[in-house]
Amino acid sequence: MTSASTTLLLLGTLLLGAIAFTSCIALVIHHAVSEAVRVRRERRADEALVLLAAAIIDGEELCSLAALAARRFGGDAVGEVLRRARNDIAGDRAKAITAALESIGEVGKLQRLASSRNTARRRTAIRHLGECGGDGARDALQNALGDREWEVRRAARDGLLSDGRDESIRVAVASYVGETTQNLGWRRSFYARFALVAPAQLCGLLQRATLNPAEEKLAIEALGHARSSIAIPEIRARLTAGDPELRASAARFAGKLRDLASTPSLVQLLTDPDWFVRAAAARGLETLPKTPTTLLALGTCLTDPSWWVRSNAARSLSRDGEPGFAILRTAIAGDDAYARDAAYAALATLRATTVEPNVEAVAASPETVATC
Amino acid sequence: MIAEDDNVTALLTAEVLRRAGFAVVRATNGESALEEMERHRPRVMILDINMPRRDGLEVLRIVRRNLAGAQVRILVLSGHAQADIAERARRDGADDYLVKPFAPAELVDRVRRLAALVDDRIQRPRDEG
Repeated sequence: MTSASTTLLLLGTLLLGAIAFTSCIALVIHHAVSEAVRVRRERRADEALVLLAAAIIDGEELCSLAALAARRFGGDAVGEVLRRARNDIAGDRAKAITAALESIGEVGKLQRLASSRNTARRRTAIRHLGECGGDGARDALQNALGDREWEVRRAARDGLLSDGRDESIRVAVASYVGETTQNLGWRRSFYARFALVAPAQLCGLLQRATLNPAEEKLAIEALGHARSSIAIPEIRARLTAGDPELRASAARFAGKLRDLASTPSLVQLLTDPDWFVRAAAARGLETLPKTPTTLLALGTCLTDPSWWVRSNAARSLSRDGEPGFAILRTAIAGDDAYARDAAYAALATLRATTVEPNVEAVAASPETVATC
Repeated sequence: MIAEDDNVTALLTAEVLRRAGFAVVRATNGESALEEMERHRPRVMILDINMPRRDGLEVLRIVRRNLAGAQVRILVLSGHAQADIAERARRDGADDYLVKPFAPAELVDRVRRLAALVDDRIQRPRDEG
């Protein structure tokens, strides 16, 4: 009995070992074959690129050359080269590249792949269609908005935003609004792309007030991050919004875009009932030139109950040279321990980054040293 | 000089510039960009941000610290997803920033303007001398 068990155990171990060994061999072969295919495809793409480069930049014969290259190097390699070229080149040449992609059948092939049963294949096809441009690709992207998988719908929306035409953007936005599977990262990434590829259309959407405050906040943030100066009027208009989070975002980005005209509103927001709005306003004022009224309001914020407001106000004051330093020195000499800490921390940060040449003198002034 | 690891972008950019009459040298990563810069002393460098072995911003900082690099004008070329990098690049010493996709004529225009600035700087001391 014991001998039979041992034999069985041994056989089992041998079997498992053989399976593991075969799997390893299969993996190694698979990897080697994939790598060889990749290298071959890249080499073919490079060769196709050399043939096509001049015609991509300037030439009426791009379609016929692309067809020749597709016969010589394969449609996949030429399709990849043209798609990537279209990512780099804008204007009339982009249209010529789209025409070449259509003429070699790349768009048609991707359209067929977009209806594959395999989700990864559909997603890749849709992403590539987003790089092709043209009506055929746009139709396929619009169809993909009804796909059962969210990843495919998302790729289709991104492609439509990149297409940039009003109708494509309208459809992408409608799909986004009706999307049930969403999280904050997704929503941010949608608006980030929207703000970068079509800031004017996003501003138009804000102007028509069709978004709820939470979505408006994301749109404002995306436009602000993209440093889109055409968004300034929309951002300024939201400094008085009813939603505090929207007010706070507007305050932060009004400063980031250096909108001088928003200074009075930002000063008013320093007394907002919500601490995060006050903190954002103090931060927003950091990059703007400060009048005596602004300096006074920021100085008052040094005694705010919220640490963030005190810290941001002190930081804003420390960026404004001597008038700001004077207020910080007064706070350091004052009785309020919170204001003193905020002012001292701001000056210490300045000293560490040596932004101002006279910071050492400010922080080590007899008055400051005597008090601290 | 073009410092760009992506073959398609590098070749297309080079083609655009050659047609405009510029002689073009290419580097495929950050370190070779620095070596080629020392060797060829280009008037204008077109610099990609995402490159292996030292990224574009690092190359930019090194070139700006280097005395030989003081003459070169640098145009940073990058995808629109990295538009926020423009400010960092300018702060680090880039002379111009172009976002992909770009119109070939615009690239030529900007490179010509930067090259003219270098020529002007070289010419002025000679004239004064």
